[in-house]
Amino acid sequence: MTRVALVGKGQRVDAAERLLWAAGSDVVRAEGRSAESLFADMLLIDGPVAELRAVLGRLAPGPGDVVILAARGLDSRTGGRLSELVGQESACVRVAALAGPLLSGEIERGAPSAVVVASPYAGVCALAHRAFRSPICQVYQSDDLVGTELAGALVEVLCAALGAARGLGAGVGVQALAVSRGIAEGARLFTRAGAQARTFSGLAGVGELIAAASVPDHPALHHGLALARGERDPALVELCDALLRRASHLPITEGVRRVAAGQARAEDVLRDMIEREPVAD
Amino acid sequence: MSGAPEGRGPNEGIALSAEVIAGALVTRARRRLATLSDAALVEVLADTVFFERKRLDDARGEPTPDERAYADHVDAAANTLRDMRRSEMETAVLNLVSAYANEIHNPFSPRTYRFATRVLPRGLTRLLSASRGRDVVKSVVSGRSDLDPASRIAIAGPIEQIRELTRRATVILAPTHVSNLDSPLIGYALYAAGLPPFAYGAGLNLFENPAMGFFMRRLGAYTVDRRKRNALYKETLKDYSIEVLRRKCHSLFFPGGTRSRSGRLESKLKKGLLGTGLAAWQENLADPSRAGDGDVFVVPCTLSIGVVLEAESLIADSLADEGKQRYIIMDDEFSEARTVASFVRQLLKLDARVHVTFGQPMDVLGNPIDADGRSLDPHGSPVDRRGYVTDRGGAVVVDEQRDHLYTERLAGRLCDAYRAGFVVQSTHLAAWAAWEVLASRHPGLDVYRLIRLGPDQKVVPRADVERLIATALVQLSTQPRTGPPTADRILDEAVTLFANFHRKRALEITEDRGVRIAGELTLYYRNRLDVFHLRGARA
Repeated sequence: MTRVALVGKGQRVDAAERLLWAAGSDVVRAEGRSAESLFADMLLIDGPVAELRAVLGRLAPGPGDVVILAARGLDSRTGGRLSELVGQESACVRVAALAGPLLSGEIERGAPSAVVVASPYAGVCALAHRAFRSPICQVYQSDDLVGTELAGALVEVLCAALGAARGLGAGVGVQALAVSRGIAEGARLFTRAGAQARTFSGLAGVGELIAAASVPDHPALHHGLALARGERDPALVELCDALLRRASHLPITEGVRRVAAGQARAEDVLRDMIEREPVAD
Repeated sequence: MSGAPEGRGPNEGIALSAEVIAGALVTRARRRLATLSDAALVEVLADTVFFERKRLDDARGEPTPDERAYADHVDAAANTLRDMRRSEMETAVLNLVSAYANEIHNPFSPRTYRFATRVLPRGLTRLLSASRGRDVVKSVVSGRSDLDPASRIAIAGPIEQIRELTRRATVILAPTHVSNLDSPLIGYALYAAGLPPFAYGAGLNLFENPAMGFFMRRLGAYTVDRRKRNALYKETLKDYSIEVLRRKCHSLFFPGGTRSRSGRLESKLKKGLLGTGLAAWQENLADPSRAGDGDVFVVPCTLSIGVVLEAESLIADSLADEGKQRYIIMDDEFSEARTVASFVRQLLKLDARVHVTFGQPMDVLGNPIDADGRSLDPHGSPVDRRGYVTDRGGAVVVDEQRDHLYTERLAGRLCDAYRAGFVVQSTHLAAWAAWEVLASRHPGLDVYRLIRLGPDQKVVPRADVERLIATALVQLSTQPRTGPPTADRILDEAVTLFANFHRKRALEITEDRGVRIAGELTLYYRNRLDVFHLRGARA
């Protein structure tokens, strides 16, 4: 039986906990370097990205630990990937990213789901596979940690765009446009970042976007709904900046950034997207 | 920081007999063969026969009787491979392993080492003082020495910590590789720093000179035949390295694999031999008889030489095949003994033009270690590194894929250390600046077209070159550097050095205050600074 210590709070870690139970894994909650985390086979971490550094400081994962990151985004201080942050803050090197539409409500009802676990370490993927695999959860393994982490970060931004479109009362056509242009944006970002392009077309990218677009009250859309109301979002600005440093011509990311920084209104950015001359990919 | 190590004789691994080492390698190979299916075993033998046949066909010159007999043996194996039983195939493979082991291993001779460490530094010291040849011989014989070698070859780094590590653990020295002079240079630096002898792999071609071969065989050099490209040979070579490391034999690898052809500082390393440190450490951990006594550490070492004897051949090779270089250059400047001697004399006349910088020691995953050999996390707190390779019960878990990634991590840390320890010299700065000015004046041309420009088209204003040198100095302000303080004097010094050391001048001052660029040779020295991503005239 795989022993998993869950660290941090968030709806994704709640959903992961249910999947782990379904797989028969031994699940404990942990905060710092306690007996729970010391004897776990893996540490699953979620929570706001801005708090991750502090969480790692308390947890102090070491050479023998395996860290699975359910949190999505990029390091708010450096713009680096979260697995890089783990390497900067600890001696732990065996790290994976957990991706996929982790929807607590569906999982609670016993609806089948799927996740992807990405790590260059095959042994880490196999361990996570054993921990999550159950009759209600398919587990895909990937060696593209970079791509999976970037997909998670870009999905956050694209979901904000979707949420803003929904908040403005835009129809399904605009949301479909945001999703399809988001996929093109992902292809450009992945090419520049040296990640595998197919990773974004999998569960970590398109899969998450489909889930967000299909669920009326998907948590990932909340940031976008706030943008539509005219609220600013400094954390989202930092995330967009970190992505824009990696690749040029990411129009949706640029648009979300302007709205989140209070430099433009969501409706104006939406209108620009419709009116601008299309650029061939 | 001088004198031979006191109270420490040659270590166990370095002085092994050929029979013992061959036996150990055959045992390892037998263990590996036992895990192979019949089909996989056929593949091992077929791969070996194919590459060996090809190597023998490509060999230049008349084969020796031994080579002819070996070729016959390979042919016989090729012809009977299909009909062989498993036991016959295993015997054939193990015979090859035994032959490879005998070729690779050269028994260390304490007598030769004592002689070499007593006499060679004196000779080198006299050479450093640029005396005439007869004086050198006289002073070597008489034992007189009046010049401190440290004033000519600058050795820096945590020498005391490394010395202590060599007493309590096995150390792998991982230097950058520029020239065939690197091995004797490092050998001298180790002696001057009071460090023990290190085993190191040297190309078979370097043993062909009888005098060099005599010393190298007895000073800890093992033979590496880079023309043997079959997997069995490479595995045997790695097994050899693991075996001697486990026997506490300090080893030296050039993790770049070969001399840098382009002139660039190493940014990608070969993982084969480098990974043997991790393998040896893990085997020691799993061996109850080695409890607490099997640590292996890695020490990066950056060599910085203002001028490189083989620069012209190396860059020509790099450009000729864009990375698909011939692996061994047999006929470069190094093959002419007189050229080497003259180059070394010129080089050693200069003040501290050769820098040997030892970096901070690290564990086999690339983590820094403290004075007690404990691995440190990014905050400097000690961590138990055994956790990287053991399960919760403390048992070593074998995982080749994981170990490959660990070695990649180590390689990355070594490259970081090379960059940090690199001493920038006037030749690098001047070549970089002149090349950048040239490229900025011909923005549409790639390096090949820039090289093919006519001599007059390759003249750039001296003032522009000096301006760019000044820009580079600002960008490299935290990097170790040697040479004059100002851009004009840096350029003058570089021009003089190039004129003294190369038949073709990498840079030359024209009558109308211009700088003429040679082409390939300038590019070679310019590339040395590539790793710093300097902003130049093209930015």
